[in-house]
Amino acid sequence: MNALVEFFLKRSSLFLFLLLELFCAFLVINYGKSDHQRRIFIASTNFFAGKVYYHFDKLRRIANWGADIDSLSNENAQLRNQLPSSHYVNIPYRDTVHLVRLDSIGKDSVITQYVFLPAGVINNSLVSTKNYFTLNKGGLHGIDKSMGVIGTHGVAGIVSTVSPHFARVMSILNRDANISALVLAGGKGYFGTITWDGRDVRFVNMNYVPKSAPIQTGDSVVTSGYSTIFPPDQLIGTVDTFNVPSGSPSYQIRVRLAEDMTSLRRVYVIENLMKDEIKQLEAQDEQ
Amino acid sequence: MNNKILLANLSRIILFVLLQVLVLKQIPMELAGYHLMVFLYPVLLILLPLRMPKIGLLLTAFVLGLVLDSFYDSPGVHAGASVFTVFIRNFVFRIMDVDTDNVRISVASREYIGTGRFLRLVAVLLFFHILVYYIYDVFTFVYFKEIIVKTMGSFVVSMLLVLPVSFIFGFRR
Repeated sequence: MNALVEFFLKRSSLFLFLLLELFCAFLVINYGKSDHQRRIFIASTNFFAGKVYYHFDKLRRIANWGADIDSLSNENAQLRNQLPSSHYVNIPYRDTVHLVRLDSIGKDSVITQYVFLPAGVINNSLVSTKNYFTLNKGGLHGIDKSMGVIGTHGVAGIVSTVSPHFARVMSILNRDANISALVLAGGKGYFGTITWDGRDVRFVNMNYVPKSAPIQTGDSVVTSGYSTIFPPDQLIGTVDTFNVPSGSPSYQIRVRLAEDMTSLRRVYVIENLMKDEIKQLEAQDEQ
Repeated sequence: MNNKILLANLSRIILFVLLQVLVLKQIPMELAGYHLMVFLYPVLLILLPLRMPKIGLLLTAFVLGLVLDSFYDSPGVHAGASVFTVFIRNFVFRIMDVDTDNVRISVASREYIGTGRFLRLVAVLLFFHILVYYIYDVFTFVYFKEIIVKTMGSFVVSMLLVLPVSFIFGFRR
């Protein structure tokens, strides 16, 4: 008897080894093959692993925010492309009684006029009175000079120079920038021009709005669509303060920018597909 | 075994396991249509203290294997391979002339037994670990080719990783 016990004790590790291997084989055979069985094993051992994976996934999602935001901004650009203000409505309004005959709405009746291209800001300086920022996309991506640039909240600038991979944008906070705008007051839009005085990065000025306009604080200021740069109704900001200098026929309006230019990250560059046609027409007329 | 060595072992185990399941597990690799795996954690088994009782070794390897199994959703596969690896560990030590009785050496690390010998040791044990892993994983010898291809492929990529890791995680006493 003693000899038998000694035999087992001497080889205890071998027996433990065999026992453990057998148990592993049992696990593999019993739980490894069918999906259902595997799920039982997973459910019973996964408290810890699941927790670790859960927290790691949170970390990974934070690390992936950049890519997620990229895909979201692509999607936003596509949605913006579908907005009515991005389209040119091609329906002839000839018939005064039946304004629009259904059969006149053909395939070409609504065509895209404005295309939004998503881009990221890689450099942005606000120290000068003539500020520019740089985009991570350029000529190869379809960006060209004089295209409008809007941020996620409002107008941000106008493309000034383009290289194959990058574009330099004249910020709305640049003394040389003139953007044609409407202040929406009392259900109407009043035309004016947006400029920057080079002082406060939160505000721009709007001039040439006739003093007959019933402006109130908080009224929206949007792009007019009179230029070929921006489509109409893109938000620029809201009326902050306004006054009429003595002897002047027009208001001087301080506009609070909708876009925070100090933290500009994601922008959309706007391509006007009918720009050439408009320019051509205007040039013909001037001759 | 004093507390310092225990702490060093524990922190290394946690670090390597996390590295294995959070990083290496996520790397997709294929050879001839077979999915390969990168094995780093077997190094832990090699680095368990030299004079740890064999029963303790086996149980530690078993638990470690089960932890990995719970991450890999593969019941018993990692555990079986790990138990096998520590079981043959001391034979391999003897073959490689690692002096297990030298009191000045606590682990068979690269610093103590030399880079060349350490890598040969890792190569042998890692190879058997991966082989047993895939035998358990496939669990039949019908797919002999699959086992061989996966073992060879995984062995090569794992060794490529162990090389820099063994230099990064040094063991100064």
